[in-house]
Amino acid sequence: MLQSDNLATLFEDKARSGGGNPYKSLRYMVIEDQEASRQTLKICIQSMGGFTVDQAQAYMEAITRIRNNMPDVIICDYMLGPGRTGQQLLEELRRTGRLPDMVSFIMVTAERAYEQVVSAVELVPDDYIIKPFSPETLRVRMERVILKKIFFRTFYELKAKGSLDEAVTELGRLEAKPQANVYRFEIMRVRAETLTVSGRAEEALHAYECIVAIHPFPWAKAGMARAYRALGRFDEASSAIDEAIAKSNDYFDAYDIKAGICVDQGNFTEAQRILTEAAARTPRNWQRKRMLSRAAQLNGDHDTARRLMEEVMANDMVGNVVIRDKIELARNALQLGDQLGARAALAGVSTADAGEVNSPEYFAFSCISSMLMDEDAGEKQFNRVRSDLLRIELPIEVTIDAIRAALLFSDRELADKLTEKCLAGHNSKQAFGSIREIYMAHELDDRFKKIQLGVATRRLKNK
Amino acid sequence: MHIETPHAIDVVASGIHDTKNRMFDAMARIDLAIQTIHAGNASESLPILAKIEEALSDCAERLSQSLSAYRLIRHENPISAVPAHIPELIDDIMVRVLGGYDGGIAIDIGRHCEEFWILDRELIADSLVNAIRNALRFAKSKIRVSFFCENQMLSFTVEDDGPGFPEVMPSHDDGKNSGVGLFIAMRIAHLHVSHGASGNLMLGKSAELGGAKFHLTLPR
Repeated sequence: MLQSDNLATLFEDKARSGGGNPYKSLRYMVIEDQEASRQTLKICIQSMGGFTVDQAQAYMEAITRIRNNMPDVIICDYMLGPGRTGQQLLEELRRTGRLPDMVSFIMVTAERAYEQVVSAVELVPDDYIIKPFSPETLRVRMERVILKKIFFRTFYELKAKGSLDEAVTELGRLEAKPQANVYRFEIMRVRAETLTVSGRAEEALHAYECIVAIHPFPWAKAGMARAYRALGRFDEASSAIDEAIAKSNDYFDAYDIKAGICVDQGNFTEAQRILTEAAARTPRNWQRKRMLSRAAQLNGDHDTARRLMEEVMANDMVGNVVIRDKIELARNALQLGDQLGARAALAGVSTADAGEVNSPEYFAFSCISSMLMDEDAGEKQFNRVRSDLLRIELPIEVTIDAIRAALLFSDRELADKLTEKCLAGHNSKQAFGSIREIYMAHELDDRFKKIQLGVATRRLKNK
Repeated sequence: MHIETPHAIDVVASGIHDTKNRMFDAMARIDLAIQTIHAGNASESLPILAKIEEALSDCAERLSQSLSAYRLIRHENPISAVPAHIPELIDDIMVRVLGGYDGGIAIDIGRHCEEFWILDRELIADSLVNAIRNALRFAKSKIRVSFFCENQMLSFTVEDDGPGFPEVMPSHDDGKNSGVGLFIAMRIAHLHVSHGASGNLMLGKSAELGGAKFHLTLPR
């Protein structure tokens, strides 16, 4: 990828002084399933001075090519063959971190309805152009996008480094620049997004409220819902996300958020219903199917959960089958009492493959695999992580794995402490049913009730 | 000037009729290009091919317009609001207008708004491209395109020194203008509603240039 400073030099110096063609050094990728249109776009870029133009005619080919040779500018058609769209590609690339912010992504489409997508969703291209268009239109739009990238480059760099607080501060600095008027709305949008990612929920909520005061964009309403959710204000989160869905029925990310809110509130049946509906309309969104599998698992529908994970692992060629998926499948099998299935899911995976020490995957793998070994080996494996389980903050599903393992190896004290921690935490509604099921399987119902009562009493006292 | 609302279905029909005529024109030019190439004058076919491309591009735009009109009639096309930086929007519109324009009429552009506006970028751009092309078609020597924001309203004005709008706006194809563009502009203006105010389209006589005046307003 072209370094941002070079890009700035090209456009700020050479282009302005007329000393060189700023488009010549950029690397382009055209993604279009129709041969004639692909060639037309290529000629369009070449007529601007573009030299290196890579091409892809299909979704998976585009992902492979981008992964192997990151372009500076991607021109992508919206329709990419049966069941595939450029928007799906964009979302997939952004979600998997395979599209750096400095890379320009321009969608071209003959579908007027695409504007409705852009006005509703969070993940949008840098620009979109409705067909038919002239080479000059493409050039004007491309230059505009590149100048935007140059304007935001320090922000993007800070964000890529994970310095989110500094990135937010940088936005304040950018706001004071003379060109800021052109990017005023983009600054508002990326500020709200960055505050959300950095966990500054109160500020993110305020940032989205400022946007909604200008116009009630569904994506901004969804942003508000996320912030409310992070603040534990579930009723307000639910209202905000309902408004987003009412405004744009095809805004599927909003369904994911709504399902998440249902899970937070312990309504797993509704979460599964919502995600089933959304997944039926987006059959190739494997991330959504992972969420659905999780919701089904929480809902006690272990067969569905398992079937979905098997489907994800067989089909997700982009996200690849990651260790997390294998763990999830093993977890589902264990819940169904299928030790063989769980072993098959984790076949060939070692502790070293399971992720960095102290990562959630490391703990999940250690706990689950310990339950699949013979007793001595299993206990030995569990002992390696036992002392860390209370010390480290783990996702709820991993804590449940640990409780299951602790009870299997007769460490009731650890199981009780973990259970208490879960029930006292924000996600207690997610954990309750699964943990109760585990205690019941060990005929420890009374013990579970005692912990539950203790947590409830302490809660009342604190209130 | 009062804009007589044509029978909605006629708008779509006239748009299709208009496109059909342009396609016949393109087909005739294709025949001409083939004959020219057969006669061994391939290089002479290039300007004919350029005209064919222009005609087909025009057909695509007209069909898109007809489809937009159909959706507006069926209420299937609520506006797609996106933030647009107005000077950039005007630049885009002028790139489209000047792309197929071969000169002769002076174009004066008055820029008096540097702000962002939330609007349906594509449909507003289509409406203005259509208005400016109409002005260029009918003007004797000059047109003026201006935009400004005032009192929470954004105004786009297109004026020319031509004969002005007819007393009754066309509700069917008159060979020059099917009326689809004006129909969309009117509907889309009214669909832009914000803080209790809605957009509007006014057609009238230009006080300064003496010809037609197209005045589109959109609320903040």
